[in-house]
Amino acid sequence: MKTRKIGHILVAAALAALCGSALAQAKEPVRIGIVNSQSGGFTAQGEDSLRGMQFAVDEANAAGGAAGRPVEVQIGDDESTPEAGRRVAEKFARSGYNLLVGPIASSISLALGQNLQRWDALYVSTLSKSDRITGDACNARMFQANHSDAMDLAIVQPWLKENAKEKRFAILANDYVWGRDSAESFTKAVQKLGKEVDVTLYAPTGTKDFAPYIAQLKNSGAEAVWVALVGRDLIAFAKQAAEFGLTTSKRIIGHAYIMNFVVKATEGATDGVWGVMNYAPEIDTPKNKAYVAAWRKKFGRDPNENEVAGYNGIQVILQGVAKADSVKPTAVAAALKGATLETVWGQATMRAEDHQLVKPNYFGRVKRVGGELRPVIETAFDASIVAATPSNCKL
Amino acid sequence: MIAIQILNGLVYGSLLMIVASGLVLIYGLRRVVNFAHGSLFMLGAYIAYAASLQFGFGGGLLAAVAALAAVGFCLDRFGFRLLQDRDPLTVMLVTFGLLLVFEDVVQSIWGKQSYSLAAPEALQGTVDLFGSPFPVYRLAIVAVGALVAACLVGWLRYSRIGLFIRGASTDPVTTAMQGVNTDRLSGGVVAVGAALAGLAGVVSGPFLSLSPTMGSDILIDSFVVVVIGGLGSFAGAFVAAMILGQVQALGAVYLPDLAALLPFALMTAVLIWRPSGLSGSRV
Repeated sequence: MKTRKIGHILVAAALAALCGSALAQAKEPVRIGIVNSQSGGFTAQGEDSLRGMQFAVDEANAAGGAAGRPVEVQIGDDESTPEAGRRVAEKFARSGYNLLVGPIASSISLALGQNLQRWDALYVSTLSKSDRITGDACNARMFQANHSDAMDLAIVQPWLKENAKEKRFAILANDYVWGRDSAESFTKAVQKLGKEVDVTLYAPTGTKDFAPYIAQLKNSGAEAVWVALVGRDLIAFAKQAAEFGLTTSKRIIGHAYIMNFVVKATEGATDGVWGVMNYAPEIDTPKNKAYVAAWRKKFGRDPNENEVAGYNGIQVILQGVAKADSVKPTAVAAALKGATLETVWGQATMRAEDHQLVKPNYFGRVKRVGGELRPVIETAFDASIVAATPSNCKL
Repeated sequence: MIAIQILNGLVYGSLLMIVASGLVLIYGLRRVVNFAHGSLFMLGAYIAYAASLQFGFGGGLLAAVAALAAVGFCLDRFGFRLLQDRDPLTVMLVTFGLLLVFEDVVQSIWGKQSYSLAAPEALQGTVDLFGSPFPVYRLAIVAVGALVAACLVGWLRYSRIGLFIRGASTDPVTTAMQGVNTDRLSGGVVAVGAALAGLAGVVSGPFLSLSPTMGSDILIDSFVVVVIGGLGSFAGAFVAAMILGQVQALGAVYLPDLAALLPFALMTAVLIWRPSGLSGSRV
């Protein structure tokens, strides 16, 4: 009789153990939909950021998943347009890949943001810099893991105050919302310091020959030039500015200028250019050191800013999943709100008021380091300076 | 300042002229609006880039022009010749498809990142013009443009083949009846047109960036040139390219808010007042 009882207990225990392990295995995987720019104007950045995302996913899966959950991804092409981006994202969200990440252009991010509620999805922006993402278009299900424009511009005035002897400035910006916003913010920062902006030029997006603009910049009385151009326009300008000797005769200060892909594509033309930087491999945090070391081992070179942005975006999602112990978009969003996250920039807070990941920001210069030309950090700005920007977001 | 701006316009105008003259050649003989022309421009730049790593800029230039001439010949032999009895719209769609195919081919070989083609050693640096330094390389572009224009005019006006080409572009059937092998002629002409696109690609390499979509960017400007000048007219394309270069350079200075619009406004105006272009239908 007694042996039978023990037998029952053993069987029950075995069953319980089996159920337990079955439960552990049944932990729902993290399903991430990567909306990636694989064609159109943002393909180069899209390719970079996808490499970073893939690296983060592989790293998590090699370490046994995110809080024990395997990470699965689907990748689709947003064709660099909001319409295609929305279509791909909707397909992912409706097939269960409802943790979204990936597009470059802010217009795509904003298009996704409007639909998250309807799709029951969550979206983490990795490279879209528009302030609207955490401003009037903010959303309980949308998070900005990258530096916003406001964060980039917030460090311009303190930097100018400490580091710029120049009294007169010129501005060259692409003629659309981002370029105009950047030019206006820079003008304000300069005027607050009692200095002047001599000339402001807006070049249409898609300009190939910048010679007419460069001639005007050279002829102006400005001692330094603020440049806010994007993509191919920026690369063409960088080469032509060096060709005409503008880079050596006036200090060039860039908004989103000194990035690795620009330096690589222009063969020495960016040497000595200053500007806002969001990342450099030398950032001294344990997480960044480990990340750079692992990246070098795999790719034999340092990661660039787009790759880091992609890497960081996936990590934000995975940390949100771990904190929520759930893959439900609403649960992950609730866990991310106000959370302290481990990033390559050190510990960073996902600000509860507007869902901006608040982290340090940098000013730097393109220099030769060990024979290789690359952007190098000159001044670091603490997250508190960067984050001072108020926002018009109602969550 | 204004002298420098006019010179700037001349540089960009010369570049557009080289691209547009290729388009005009191909249209003249085959009546094909060649959308693939932009991708030939891009292909030229990439081939020059690859070859220049081994043989320098000069080697790159030769390789690109030779390779593009071959591509052009094949395009005519296995494309335009087979499609010559089809609806022009069908042929146009085929060339548009080719544009996408070439872009993808380049993307799969060289990837999506931008590359830089260095200017030849001897043409780097600047000279003082009107009191400010001007890149020597840009002056060389004007020279290349002038050389191309002179060669084309000489070839078309004074050579026997030029006579055939002018004849065939006015009336291919009658020209063929006179004993001219228009198919063989077209092969050669499309090859030259494609080589010109390649040449323009190489020449623009040092001041634009090499990316798979660089072709579609320049294609729009070249079509504006061809429409303003009159499809199929060299003199028209030449004049229109120079006008467009000036409109872009001076527009950027004196009418900055309209700079992006001006080329298209000009094109619209020409289409309204002289639908066949500035030069009418003269070759």
